[in-house]
Amino acid sequence: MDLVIPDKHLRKYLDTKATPAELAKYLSLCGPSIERTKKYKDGDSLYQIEITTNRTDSASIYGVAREAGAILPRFGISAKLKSLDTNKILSKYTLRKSVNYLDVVLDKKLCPRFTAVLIENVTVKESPGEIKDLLEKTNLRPINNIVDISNYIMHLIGQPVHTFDYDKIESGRMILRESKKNETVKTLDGKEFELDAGNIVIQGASGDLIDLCGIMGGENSKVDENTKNILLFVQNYNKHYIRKTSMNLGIRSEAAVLFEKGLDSENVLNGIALGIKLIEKTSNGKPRKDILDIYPNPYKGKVVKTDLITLNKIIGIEIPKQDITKYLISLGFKVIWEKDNLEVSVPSFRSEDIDIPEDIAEEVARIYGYHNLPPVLMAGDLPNKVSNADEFAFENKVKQTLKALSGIEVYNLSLTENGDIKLKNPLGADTEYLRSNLQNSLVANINYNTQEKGYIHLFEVANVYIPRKNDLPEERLVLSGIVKESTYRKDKGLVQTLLNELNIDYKEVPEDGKNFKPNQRIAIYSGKILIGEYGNLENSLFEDNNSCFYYSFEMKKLMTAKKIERKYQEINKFPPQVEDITLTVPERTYIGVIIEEIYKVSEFIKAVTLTDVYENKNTFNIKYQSGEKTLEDKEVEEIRNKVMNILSSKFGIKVG
Amino acid sequence: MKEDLINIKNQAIARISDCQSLNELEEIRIDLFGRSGIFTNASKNITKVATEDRKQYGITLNEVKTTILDLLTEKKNHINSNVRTWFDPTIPGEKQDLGHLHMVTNAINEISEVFTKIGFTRVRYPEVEYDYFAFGALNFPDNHPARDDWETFFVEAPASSQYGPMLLTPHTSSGQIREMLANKPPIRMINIAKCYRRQMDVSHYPMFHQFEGLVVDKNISITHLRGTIDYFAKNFFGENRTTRLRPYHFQFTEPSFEVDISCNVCSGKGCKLCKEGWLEIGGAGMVHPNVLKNCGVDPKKYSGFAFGWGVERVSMMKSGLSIPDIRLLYSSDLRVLKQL
Repeated sequence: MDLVIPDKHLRKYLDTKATPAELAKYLSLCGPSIERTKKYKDGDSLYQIEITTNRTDSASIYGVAREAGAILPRFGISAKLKSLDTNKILSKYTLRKSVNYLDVVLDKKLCPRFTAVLIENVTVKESPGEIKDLLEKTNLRPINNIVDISNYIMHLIGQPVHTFDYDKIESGRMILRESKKNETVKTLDGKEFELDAGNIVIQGASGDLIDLCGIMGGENSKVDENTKNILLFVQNYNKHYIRKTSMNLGIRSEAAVLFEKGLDSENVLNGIALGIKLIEKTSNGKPRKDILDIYPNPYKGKVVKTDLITLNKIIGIEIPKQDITKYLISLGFKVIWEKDNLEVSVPSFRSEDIDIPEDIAEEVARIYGYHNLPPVLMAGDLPNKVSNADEFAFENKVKQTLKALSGIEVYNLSLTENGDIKLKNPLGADTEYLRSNLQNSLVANINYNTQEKGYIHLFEVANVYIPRKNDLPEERLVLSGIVKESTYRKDKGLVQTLLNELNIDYKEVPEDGKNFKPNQRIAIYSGKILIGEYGNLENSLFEDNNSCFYYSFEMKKLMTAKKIERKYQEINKFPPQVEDITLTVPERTYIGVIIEEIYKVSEFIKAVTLTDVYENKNTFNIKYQSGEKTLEDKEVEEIRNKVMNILSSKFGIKVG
Repeated sequence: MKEDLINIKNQAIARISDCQSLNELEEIRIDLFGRSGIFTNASKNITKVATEDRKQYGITLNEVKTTILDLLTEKKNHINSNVRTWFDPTIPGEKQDLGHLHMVTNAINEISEVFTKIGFTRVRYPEVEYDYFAFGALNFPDNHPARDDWETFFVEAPASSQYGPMLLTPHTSSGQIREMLANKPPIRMINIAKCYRRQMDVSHYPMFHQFEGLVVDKNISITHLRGTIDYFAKNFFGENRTTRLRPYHFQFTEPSFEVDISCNVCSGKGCKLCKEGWLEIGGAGMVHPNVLKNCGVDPKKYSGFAFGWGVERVSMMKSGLSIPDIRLLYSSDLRVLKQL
């Protein structure tokens, strides 16, 4: 929650010689974070402050002053918090559970504290300078004294305040309740809302809704220039209801943002008191002596017990008892020591936030100053755990190899327009599912890069999501890549180079597959397990109607696939004979099968490499070698003849 | 006398022009300009020249010397380039097609390296989680806003009777629960994974990466958190960087902190990029005793700290790439990708 606090207004409640720069620096270190300090045109400093959601007690001028009063002395700067003096104001009034000017029926689950007072004969006019000054500096437009005072008090003490035109509340009757489905309310900014059930509203005597509680007042009950009598209205509401209403209707008013985080019911009276004082002063209105205060469960106090050892163990250094006492008292706590045992009484404004010894440790440590704690690396035993470092190292090796093979890594959003797992609350139809493959994303990537004219090799390593019954989905880590503007042989070589680098023992089997052109896909097996695939994708997937090469592997299977056993091989002392043979191959003959066939002919054929292809002529480089002796020309010729015979009879292949 | 000089010049020109090697050229130079070289002697003869001719002799002497020396240099360069094979080292190189790894990958590797050195083990826990692991066990109250439909993605799947609705984890902190349920202290975990939040604008993308550190052992205190964070900052960002903790609030840590690192642009003086000399890295805190209890760890015996920061954030802070829109990190535009 962000708020702006003008230095001039802060100092009305804080007596200190700290400069704005010192205030900003020290508060940020130990309390609310001052993100920036801006100079205002009159020379005032405006602090932009971030308040964490658990600290609504400091989401106001007074709240920040209270923090500063505790923090600044730690930096050797004296700072004294001034009193709001609301008790003095209230001493002239009586708090009553019922009053003659307002008849209220309420649901205490929705509204833990309800206060109101009638102020008669007000003059609606321009606000005095001091009030306008604060509003202008916090980006609010001054309207009139009555409305402005509400906003002023909210900024001053963090308690939203509302005023009704009393004469618009029929028969002085109100019912505070949960809304019903299809009820409508018109808020004072002129907008009309149709409500669901579950919002806090006030119904007037005629049945119309006159207030959307905690969010914004009703149009039909608002204060205007003709207002004579007003109802000053200060409540605390159930935060969960307010959050729901505010988010559902998209009204993020300052009041809603405060109420939804939970406020201190004790602070409500400060709101009423300041309201009475300021309205009386600026409008000549006469408040009734009876204040309506419906507060069925008043704050009874709260004690957290802890001890010195626990606190010091959490903080990591020893902080003396008297310092702990000093810090806690400066924050509004009460402290009783019994030897090293500590009882801390929590003030109402911290009751939502402070429950356990760790909370007390936080208060002590932050005022002591986190920056004063020494950085220490852990001693002690290391975890005795088998790490899955292999898995990450393998992933890394795959990525590094693909980088060397000109691959550009891409990270795509896991949310896509189709898949097997659907989101309940997607951001849009194109991100409604968790993806079940990486192919769609990579194809989309190619289609997105129409400006690139040449070669593209993109790859991604990411999870795909496979539903499982009565369980979380399987998150399957997959490697996929796509290559554009290349040749099948080069792309296939790329995949094979990767598999060789990973030392994988694999088998390639031509098998058709979805989205691949018929006869243009290879399935890759390790033993009987399918570990991946590659091939040419259908043209129709691409906007330019040009196919791309695609490969995909399941990372876990790739990692656990059978590896080629690596053994040192003695260097062969006997020189090989190497020759090129050009063969005329009939149409529709698999070259892969021919090469396999050649190897089968003799154990002395150590390598068969396709070196050139021209029309139906294929040139193979064949290496003959024996481990026992130098092969004679005659022996090589014998093998060659055998190869030719087999190729000719099996495939009808001719030499030349 | 002047004629002698002209002769010396003409002879030298003839010899230099016929010369074929550097050695021979050096001989010519010595013959002419050595201690008792032809030209050296001729220049000594200036004393013998009649006074009225002496000025002219001097001028000629200089002319001859310059001419011969120029010729010698020219010939030397010529022989040099003839002897060596001609080669132009200034011709532009042909660069190889090396691919490119994404900055998220690089950052993840660097981050894991820093933490594994001080005994952390890298893990990866589910992205699709049950509410219990993402919120419940992390001490989030039932009505906490993070559990709203507005902030967290929920999956259309039957809720688990034990663990509640299925969702996309909004933080790697769910890994704390997984880690503590599966392992006994001492624990030093670094969980790096994808996270999802229901937000999309210049500074938010619905998917991002976090790295989550968790240490649970006896006597772990705030000072250890400071030590670890400082170690990371110095090893990841540079040894002159420092960190500071500021008060913050998280449901699953108590006390909770916001961690800042000193700005490298202004060296802590305060500039446009930072807040008064400090840059925010992310949240941290001491593991809440309720979280330890929920994972079967006795908070009376053990304590711990945790931090969960954005991989993209620290990576951008380190690289100094000022990327104007976080969504660009997940662009597939090659012109962008190659820069990441």
